[in-house]
Amino acid sequence: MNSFDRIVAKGVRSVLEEDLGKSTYKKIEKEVFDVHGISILDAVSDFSKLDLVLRKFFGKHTTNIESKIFKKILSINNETKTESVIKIKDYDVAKTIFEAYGDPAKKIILDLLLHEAKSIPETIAKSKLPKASTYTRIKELIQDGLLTMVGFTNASDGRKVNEYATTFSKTVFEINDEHISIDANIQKEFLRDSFAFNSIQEIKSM
Amino acid sequence: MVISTPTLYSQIKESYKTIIVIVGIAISLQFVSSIPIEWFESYLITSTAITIFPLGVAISCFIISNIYGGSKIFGKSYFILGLSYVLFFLGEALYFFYFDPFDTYEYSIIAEIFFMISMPLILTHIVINIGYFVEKLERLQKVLLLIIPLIIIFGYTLIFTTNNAEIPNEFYFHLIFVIESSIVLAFTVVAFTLFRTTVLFAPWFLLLIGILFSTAGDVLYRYTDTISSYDYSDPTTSLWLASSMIMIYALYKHQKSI
Repeated sequence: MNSFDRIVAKGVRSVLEEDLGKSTYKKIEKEVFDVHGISILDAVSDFSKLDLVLRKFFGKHTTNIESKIFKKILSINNETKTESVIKIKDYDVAKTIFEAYGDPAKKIILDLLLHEAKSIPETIAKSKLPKASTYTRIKELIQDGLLTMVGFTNASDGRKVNEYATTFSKTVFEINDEHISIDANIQKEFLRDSFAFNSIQEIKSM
Repeated sequence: MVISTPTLYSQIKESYKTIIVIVGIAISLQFVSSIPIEWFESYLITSTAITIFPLGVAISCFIISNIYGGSKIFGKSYFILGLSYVLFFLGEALYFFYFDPFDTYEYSIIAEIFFMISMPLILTHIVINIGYFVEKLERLQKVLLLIIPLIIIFGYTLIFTTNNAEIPNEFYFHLIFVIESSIVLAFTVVAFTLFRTTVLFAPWFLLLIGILFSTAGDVLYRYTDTISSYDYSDPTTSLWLASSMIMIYALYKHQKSI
């Protein structure tokens, strides 16, 4: 599952509910469970699964609906060879990121992993935070898509463990009244297999 | 249960009995108006149905809008459709409670204005739905939007001018409604072609039949009213009544499908 799609997942839910209503969202949710046996949030993270269900509902118009959903959640502001600057417009998505950066412990973890990828045990050790709660917070950050698995390393006992880095290399928050938007820099490598990003790219090139 | 996209055949098979019953009720109500009953004005049953049925559609629309939680597409569009049927109801109610009983039609223009405004509202409902699902219409769909109104308007004018030596001033007034109805029908046909590959096939198939009936009813009514020969025993009555009932059935199907 792509980390960036995980970030976008919460926005898909709110946009679907906002556009088509809660009852439609529940029907889609039920169909996702009947077909794939997973929750809709997991299906959004692994977007091809949600796409399959949406195609059953909306046929050939699904691509158009998906691009409308993603357009409401994010836009691509700028692109360099290695990075893309993405504006996150959806409130629910922005709030999740904002809350993560607002949590002191999570902020320490994100800062630790900003410039150098580390394994979970190494991060826990370097953070100097309580082990159990740090582990939970790292899991939450992975679940929310704010940490991306970038490779493997050997732990002190020789086991092969995953290495994580922050999904965003830079985040700028903009808060107006009750609205939060985020400009985030993200490595292109992380976006290669992102369904959401590629959909937006497709619209841009049309 | 796993969703599958319905086909035209499966929809006809599923809905034809209900449609036959609806058409049967509509035709019966049309003929009731011409049955002579000594102690009762039988036409009142028909005129009550003509007045009440649009209110039924409006209430169904508001219920559907509420089910979709006032969402931007379904919630909003069905609320707007409900408003258009409230205007239909108000127009019919004016005829039922005021113009017909007192046999005074000098202010009937108010009811006609209600009817006139209701059509753009139906159109708005269709456009909201089309706009959400497609970015651009295909060439055939654009042609349909042009050709359907042209055929209806040209056909109506041709038949009228062929059968009537003189063109009364009312002709042009009634022509506005014919134009409106034909545009609504054209957009409904296009919407149907768009939704045929989706789970909304069934409701839009029924909406198309409903709008088709109401357009036929409207055109027929405008013709007979221009030459002052309309009464409740005209086929217009059953077309309008069937249309309203089919619309309610379509709304029921909509909330079942999605």
